[in-house]
Amino acid sequence: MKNKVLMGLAAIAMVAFLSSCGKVPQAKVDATNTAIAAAQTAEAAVYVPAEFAAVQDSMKAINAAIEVQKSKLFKKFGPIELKLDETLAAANKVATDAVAKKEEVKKETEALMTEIKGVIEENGTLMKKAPRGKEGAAVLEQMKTEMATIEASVVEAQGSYDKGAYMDALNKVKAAKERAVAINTELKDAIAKVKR
Amino acid sequence: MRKRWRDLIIVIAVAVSVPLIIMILIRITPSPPEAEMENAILQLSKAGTKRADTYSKKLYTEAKIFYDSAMVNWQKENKRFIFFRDYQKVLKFAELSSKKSTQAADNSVVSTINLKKTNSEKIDSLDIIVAAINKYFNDYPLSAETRSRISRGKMLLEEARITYKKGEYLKSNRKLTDAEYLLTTSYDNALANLKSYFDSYPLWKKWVNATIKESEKW
Repeated sequence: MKNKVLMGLAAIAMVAFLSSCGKVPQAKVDATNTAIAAAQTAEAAVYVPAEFAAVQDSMKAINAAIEVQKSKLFKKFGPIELKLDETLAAANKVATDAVAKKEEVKKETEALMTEIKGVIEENGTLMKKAPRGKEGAAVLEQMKTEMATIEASVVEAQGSYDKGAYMDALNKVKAAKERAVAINTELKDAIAKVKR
Repeated sequence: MRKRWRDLIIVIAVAVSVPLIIMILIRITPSPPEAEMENAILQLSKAGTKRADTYSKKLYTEAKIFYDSAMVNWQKENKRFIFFRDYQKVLKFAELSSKKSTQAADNSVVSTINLKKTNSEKIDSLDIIVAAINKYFNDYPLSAETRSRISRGKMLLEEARITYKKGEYLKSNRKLTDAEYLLTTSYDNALANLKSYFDSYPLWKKWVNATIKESEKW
């Protein structure tokens, strides 16, 4: 009788043991979530959006997989741990890539800022040499207004740059440069026409 | 001898009943909504790839809310005793999320195509207006305010062109709307100004001729 009771208890203990042997790898889950948050802080959504979305999707799939295991009688978190390792590595890479891309855009913006300042300066010099006269005065007035708008746009771009919004700054300074170069060409053409 | 047989029967009974009990337990455990949730994640991801977060924001946000609700309910159910779990709500939210994600993705594709076309046409038409302004009003004595508006309009058009080339159609569209307002109103005002100038021209001509005639008499 004693043996029977012991065997029954052993069977119940075995079922209980098997059903609770898997534990959620919480430390890894937390580490991966922290890495994703760090990537977000590094503006990965702006500078490497596709890669960042892929990492977020992976984490969603992992969270679902964890719930799947939690729903089962016999839990198995081994494959999830492997997936977490991969996602953690990917999240760290995305953060590093975002920082690198941001630096690249920052450098590009700085280079364009220097370039446009040169063009603005040259335009100022050319403006003095440009033909005047009745019609020329109105044309120069329009050019002066456009130069003022370009300079205001460069100031705005500098503001975005100072705030760390390099992508916005780059877009603004690119547009300003296009306009400044167009005026530069126009001025050079007008001066060349007079010389001929 | 009899005791041996009895023990053997007990061992066999336990060996058979334990797996049997386990099998029964597995069978009566409610099955998790694994496939439905996987599909919800897949559809949400597809919608994200099609930029539904930008071009179909409302539907995409709804899809995300339904997905989050499904997850919250799933976690809640998993905290209950295993045999008392009910995943019906999770299933409902997962299906709703998938449906909304699909709609968001489709809507985003259509919106992107339409916005791309509209922006391209708007850029072309504003280029024509800018060309006309340059041709007719570059050397025309416009007011400082009008010149400034034209200049800002041209800058916004350039910014819109750059964002358009980057595939940021919504951003481009916002800039184009502002550029269109500045350029078309300036152009219309300048045109009206020019028209009124020429409307008065015959009267001025008459005055000039009258003055010449009067002076000839002297």
